[in-house]
Amino acid sequence: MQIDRRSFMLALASSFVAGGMPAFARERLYVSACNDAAGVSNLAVFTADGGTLFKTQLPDRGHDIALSPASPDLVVFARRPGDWMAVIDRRNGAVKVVVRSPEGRHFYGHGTYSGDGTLLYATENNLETGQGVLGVYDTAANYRRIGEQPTHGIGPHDVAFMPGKELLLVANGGARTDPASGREILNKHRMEPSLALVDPRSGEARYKVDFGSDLTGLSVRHLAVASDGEAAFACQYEGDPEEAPPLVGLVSKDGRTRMLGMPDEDLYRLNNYLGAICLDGSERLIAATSPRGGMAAFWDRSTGRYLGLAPMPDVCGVAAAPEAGTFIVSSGNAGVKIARAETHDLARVGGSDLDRYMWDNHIEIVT
Amino acid sequence: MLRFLSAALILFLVLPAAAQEYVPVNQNPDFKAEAVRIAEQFVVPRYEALAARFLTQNEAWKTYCGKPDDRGFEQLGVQFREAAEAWAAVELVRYGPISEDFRYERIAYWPERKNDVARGLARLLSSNDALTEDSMYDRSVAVQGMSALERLLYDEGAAAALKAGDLGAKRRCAAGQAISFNLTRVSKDVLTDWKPLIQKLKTGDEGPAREAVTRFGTDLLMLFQVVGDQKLDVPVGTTSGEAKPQAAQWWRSGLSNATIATNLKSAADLSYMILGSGGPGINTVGATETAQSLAESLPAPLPDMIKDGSQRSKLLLLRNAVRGARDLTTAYVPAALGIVVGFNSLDGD
Repeated sequence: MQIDRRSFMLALASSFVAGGMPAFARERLYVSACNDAAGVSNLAVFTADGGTLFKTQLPDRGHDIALSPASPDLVVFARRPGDWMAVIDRRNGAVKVVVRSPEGRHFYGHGTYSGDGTLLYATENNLETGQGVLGVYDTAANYRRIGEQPTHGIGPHDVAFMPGKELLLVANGGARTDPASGREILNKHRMEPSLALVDPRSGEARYKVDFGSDLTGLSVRHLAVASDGEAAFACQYEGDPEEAPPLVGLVSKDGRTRMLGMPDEDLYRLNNYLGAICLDGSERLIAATSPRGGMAAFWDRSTGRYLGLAPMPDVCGVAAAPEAGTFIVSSGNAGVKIARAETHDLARVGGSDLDRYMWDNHIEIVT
Repeated sequence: MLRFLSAALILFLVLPAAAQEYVPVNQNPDFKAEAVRIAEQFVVPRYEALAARFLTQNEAWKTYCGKPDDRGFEQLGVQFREAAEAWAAVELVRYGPISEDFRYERIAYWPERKNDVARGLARLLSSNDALTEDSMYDRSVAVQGMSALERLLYDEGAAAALKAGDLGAKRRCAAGQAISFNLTRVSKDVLTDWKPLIQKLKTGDEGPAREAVTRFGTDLLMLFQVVGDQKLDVPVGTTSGEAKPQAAQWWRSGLSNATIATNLKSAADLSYMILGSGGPGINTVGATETAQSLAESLPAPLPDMIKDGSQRSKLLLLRNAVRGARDLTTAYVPAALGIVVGFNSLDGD
């Protein structure tokens, strides 16, 4: 949708709910986009026990959030194919600036800051060619767009820095879309999914992993990079619905990939669709969520062992909880819960009013 | 396929004020009362009917295997049909005890992926191990239920093999008896587990009840997706060249049309229970019944019509009717229940 920056800023100011940081100082804070019962889109910073630091109104649904390593800034990206991203003060919800995508580009919902926080990279679509680009924004210049680099693929979605913060791993979903036709996949039978390791300074690809002709429908969308350089990735399968290829894989720092197995019966329950992926605090365990299957699935990254499923309707958001082996998971209609990977059980978050919100696809850790 | 539903729901979600003013949203839903009402009046009676049908079917297999004759064989087919219809009447419910321990898949393993039922059944019939009723539950989920029974009865040459009077026929009979027993076991377990769940919905806090109502609403919408996308779109294809008649559910037994009609009737029944008569959105029920009526009046088995150019238009009409019913259900049922469905699952990212 088109937004008017002036009215957006006014709306944000009026919806700001101050909570005060000190009360939450010792608790882990999470951030996610959400809708309330009236259909109003917000960005919320909250604790796992249901405390809300602030909510900031958004003009439309947000998707993922990137956090600056050098300032209080966080950026919430519009849900694909959105044309805005909002820079918000993570301490109080105040809006710093709203940035529109330039003519001929739109956001894909994800981005990340450079290691020193001076630049922001956002996955974007070149509408004319369908090729993915990384928009480059200067954070010191009020997030002015100063250039772009290729993602070396179509339909980039998630993007994450590798350890060392010099190279970016990009999940090129392979699906070409155009806002003029909504979210319809225009090249369903000719998708070109890939993982590309890109040097954002030169734009050069250090490697590109194509999924091959057998798996052209396997759209790689989300990433979770470990500090050892291995990354877990989560896919959606757009091919024959009766087929059920594995949806989670690992890519080593030199580009070797392997898919993680699970019993067929459990795989079918994911309904060929994963919406998010995350590592736990120890980085040993992987959680991936399937809103279409209403399931969170867990693996041991160190052994590749599959651990099981936890049912939660419309689950998507997932982030590491403080205790190793646990995750916080959120849903569009079942609130927020804590998942334990080894036993794959879910616990309700006590004393919480988080159930009142419809939580969008991603949760990130603020502190 | 999904995009149609996505588009409808996304519109509903992002334009609530402007586009949905005519849809009254239940601002003060009584989740506990609604969850219990749907469970007691819609779900449990259908599982009771299913359990009764599975029991009768198991009796038919016992009778036939004890004294194989034509009359007994005929009864196997009759009871299979009744059981398939009873399943179709509650197939939309995915919430609750049916979702545990692969019970849903144990009852009907469909869509069949990677030829699991055929491979599992071949293995089951060629083995020499004891094929007892109790042991079925520990075997592959794919061979435990109605999908395997259908192959035992209706696969090419299956009837002759079952009637052959040799060791192979005895093995097939033992398999049918064990599978039909397993179905009684699973359905009984589901019924048993609904009792404490209803108690929990009655006496617990609002959270589980709200989840139950949300799941019922989601399951209802999912039914249209399954019928429209999987049961019609996949076998019918976009052209007759892309048609896959054997992707239709229950094509071997000729029950594709009847079970789709029963699916749609169950959706109409649940919509009526939620929306009531005379209130806003009552056309939702009528639209679903129209689709049901179209499925009932198809002039030939669905797989036969798929490749027939002159008949495909009737299937496309049915498909459009299912979509129309789905759109109305999407607009009115979640609003009446006071819930939101598909926020993430229909998001596409």
